[in-house]
Amino acid sequence: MIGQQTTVGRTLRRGMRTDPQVLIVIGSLGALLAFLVVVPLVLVLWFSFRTAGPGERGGTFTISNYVDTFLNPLTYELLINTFWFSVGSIIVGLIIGVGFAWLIERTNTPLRNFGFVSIVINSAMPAAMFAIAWVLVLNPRTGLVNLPFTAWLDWDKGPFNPNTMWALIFVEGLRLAATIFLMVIGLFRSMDPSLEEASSMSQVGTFKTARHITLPIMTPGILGVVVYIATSTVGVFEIPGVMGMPADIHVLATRIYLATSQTPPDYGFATSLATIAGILGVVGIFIYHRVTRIQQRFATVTGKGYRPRRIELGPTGRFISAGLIILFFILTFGLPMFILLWASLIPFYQAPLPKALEFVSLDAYRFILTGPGRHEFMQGLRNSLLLILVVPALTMLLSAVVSWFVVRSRARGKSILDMLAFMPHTVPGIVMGLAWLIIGLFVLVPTYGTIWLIVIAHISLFIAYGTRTTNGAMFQIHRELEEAGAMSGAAWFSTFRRIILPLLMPSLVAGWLWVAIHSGRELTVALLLQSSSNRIISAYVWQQFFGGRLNLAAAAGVLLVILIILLVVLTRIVGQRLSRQQ
Amino acid sequence: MAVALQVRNLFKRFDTDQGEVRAVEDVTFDVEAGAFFTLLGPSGCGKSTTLRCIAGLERPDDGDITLEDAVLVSSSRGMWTPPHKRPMGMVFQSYAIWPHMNVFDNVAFPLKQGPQKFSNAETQDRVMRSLALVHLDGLEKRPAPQLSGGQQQRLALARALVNEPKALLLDEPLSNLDAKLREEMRNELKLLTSTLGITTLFVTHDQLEALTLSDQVAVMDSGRLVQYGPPREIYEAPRNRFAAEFIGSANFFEGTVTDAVETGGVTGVETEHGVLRCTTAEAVARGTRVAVAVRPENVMLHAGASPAGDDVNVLSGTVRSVVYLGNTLDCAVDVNGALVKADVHPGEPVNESDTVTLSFKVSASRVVPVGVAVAAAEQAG
Repeated sequence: MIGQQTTVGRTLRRGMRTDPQVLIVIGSLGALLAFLVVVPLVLVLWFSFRTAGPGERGGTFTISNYVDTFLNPLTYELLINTFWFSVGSIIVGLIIGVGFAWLIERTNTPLRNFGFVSIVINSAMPAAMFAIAWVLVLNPRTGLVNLPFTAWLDWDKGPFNPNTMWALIFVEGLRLAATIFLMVIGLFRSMDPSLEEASSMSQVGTFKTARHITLPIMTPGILGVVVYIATSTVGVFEIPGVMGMPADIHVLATRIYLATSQTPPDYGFATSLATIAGILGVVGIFIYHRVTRIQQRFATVTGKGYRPRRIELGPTGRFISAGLIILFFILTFGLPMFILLWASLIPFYQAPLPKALEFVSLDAYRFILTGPGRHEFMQGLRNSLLLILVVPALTMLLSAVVSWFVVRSRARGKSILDMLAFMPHTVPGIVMGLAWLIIGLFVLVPTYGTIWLIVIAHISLFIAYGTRTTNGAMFQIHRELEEAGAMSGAAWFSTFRRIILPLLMPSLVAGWLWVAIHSGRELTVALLLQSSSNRIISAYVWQQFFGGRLNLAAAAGVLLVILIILLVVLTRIVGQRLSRQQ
Repeated sequence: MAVALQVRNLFKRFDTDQGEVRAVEDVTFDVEAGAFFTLLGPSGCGKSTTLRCIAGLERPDDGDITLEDAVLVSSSRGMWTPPHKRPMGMVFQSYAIWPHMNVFDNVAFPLKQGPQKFSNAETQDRVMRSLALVHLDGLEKRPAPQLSGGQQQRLALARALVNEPKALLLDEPLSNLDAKLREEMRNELKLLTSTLGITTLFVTHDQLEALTLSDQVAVMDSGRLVQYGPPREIYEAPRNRFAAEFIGSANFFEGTVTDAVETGGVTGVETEHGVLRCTTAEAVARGTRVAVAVRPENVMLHAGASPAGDDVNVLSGTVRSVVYLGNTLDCAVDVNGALVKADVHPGEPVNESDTVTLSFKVSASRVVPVGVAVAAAEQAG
């Protein structure tokens, strides 16, 4: 009987390998992923070795781009700036993120749910808007934090300045704190609580247990988070773009952006810098995988799923921790949102003082919604909505199919498929942006300047996340459910459509909303690919801000935040509904 | 012998998404010093929660726990001792071996970080003694994740015993081992605890482990303790249907008591198969609805001649099925439409559709109350 079942399984799998449907699908998938991922990156590399830029005729092989780049003292300044920016912001983010994860997950602090909400709501604010808000808060003369010095002490300038490396590090660190928090809280939750309980049962107290058991066990995981975050900070554009660029404080991403947006563009410099950034990203991910492998060695069989006991804080401790959570909310959402609202309500920016109240009006909103500015804004809104609807749908569908092959099939080359799908993650966003700019100028010329180029670029950007989600979900679906479909006589495609897709649905919906939120607030790629007709709201905000129309930028930004908050709320509701169903 | 551990009126409830769960309901028992005491029951019966309340890993809602004159928990006096102040060692189901330490450091941890301070030489000495006790000597430099399942379990045991606790708590420690290893560890555990003379609390859902290891077994169902006593008593004189069914298997004949009797007496029970004479552990009144529990291995099958006598009950029926299990024949006999299970020696010449006489001793026919489980479930809500 057992022997029979094995034979059935084996023929079934052999059948899958030769099924023409499967061959066609896997072939076209490979080609599609290669186009989405490999071609753009190869083009960046290619042009870094050419004398002529994309769209220009002729050109020969050269290494002069690299020679110029490495002889240019600017390059080293960039690398040093990028290094300090990454290290500094990670340290800030780590202290806040790990501290909060511990407070919220492992202690009985008040305001736990509120702390969670403030982390989640922070993700609703696009990074560029966050930076714009902090530029206003830190402004030497009108900034809220400088007001005590300028308004009361009558100083000419306050001590805080947004256009410094310190400010960049602080603001990026606040952003990273939310990401680090979410990753670290997962680590806290996946730790076997009996490891700590065993220490308690060895007559060892709470503090010593935290130091000798919890912290050492968490260390490889936290190290993994650090490397992962570091990989992304190499290519971060928004915050240095808003706060550093005006003061000529450059990092890799801002310099690449400048090189492509100046006239004439310097593609040699841009592509060689992008190659350097890409290599840094790949090295980072390589280290990340090594670190997480070490972490897996630590993985243990978890017990019965008891939640770890919470550490009881005293009254003073509870008071302080509640204060910290409120402060975090103010710094990451309350204050920036208030400043943006204020900036959107007055025509020419002034500090939020009573004497400025007489200028408050809804003119900016009127201007962009019903006034002369409506064409431009509504075009941006339409484009953003198109992204939010189309990008996630296509990304998640593609992810589901790719994941099936990666997790289920015995087809050769499935690991290549998985690698291809993960690759965009190793490449900094600014490099992907440059790559798609080159594609638009060079390969898909008709799409250049249309929203569809951004749609395709975004799919390639988010496919890595999409496949991670669906891979995880696919592992949860028992192979036999699918084999039962095949044994009932259904062909591969019907099995996929009738059995796999419905079972994957909860993860697909979760991934859909994640991609929608990130596509809706993405700026770097959209900015590099922008023209007058495909501008999306986040690019519109950028353009108005640097055009000096702060009230319009703020008003559009406030509307964008509201849109994304609606998506976030929808995510929570759908997530809760789905988890209740299961 | 003196009582080492006292548990009185223990209650523990959990709030879950599905509403309140009464994990432990009014559990009371004593464990004698040096005894091997087992909490036995199906998963979700509250046995692990009871153990974790004793360990201090859960805080009971109500109840008292005392260990050798030291009050650990007393709800009336508002006392609760945190786990790290309780002189107990514990082996977890997942073993909870710290992956970032080697074998030696895992065992040395309670000595180095615990309340008592030991010199390096003494730590070394105690750790080595403890490792030798579980036959892990020679492996002390080995990183913990490189140990096999059986070795991890010995290591967990060494760690739990190293600072000479007053009680040893074992939370299903054998359930992650394969069958062969489990039997080996079972024997070792029995030998070790009796050599050390340590008071041991063991949680399991495996009746065989409970019967072979324990001095006392407490059977739990839906958060309640339904019976406790020596293994032989639990098996031979189950006091209710749940205990009879969960440990081993049993035939039940429902009926009414014909004569009122005192504790330990013999009474008749009027069933659909006639009056059965049986033994009762508790006093019963005439007319009470009860069930008579008879274990299959106590049911004899005879081809024709029916054995007579005061000390046996006799029924007749037709064999419906015979399943060969190697060491026994598992037979089902149709008696007036009811199926009676009988385990007989494989040498017996029993075949399907034979007409047979069944006999079982009065001493092996136990009166158990009807519907205890139902009543308990109703009370539990």
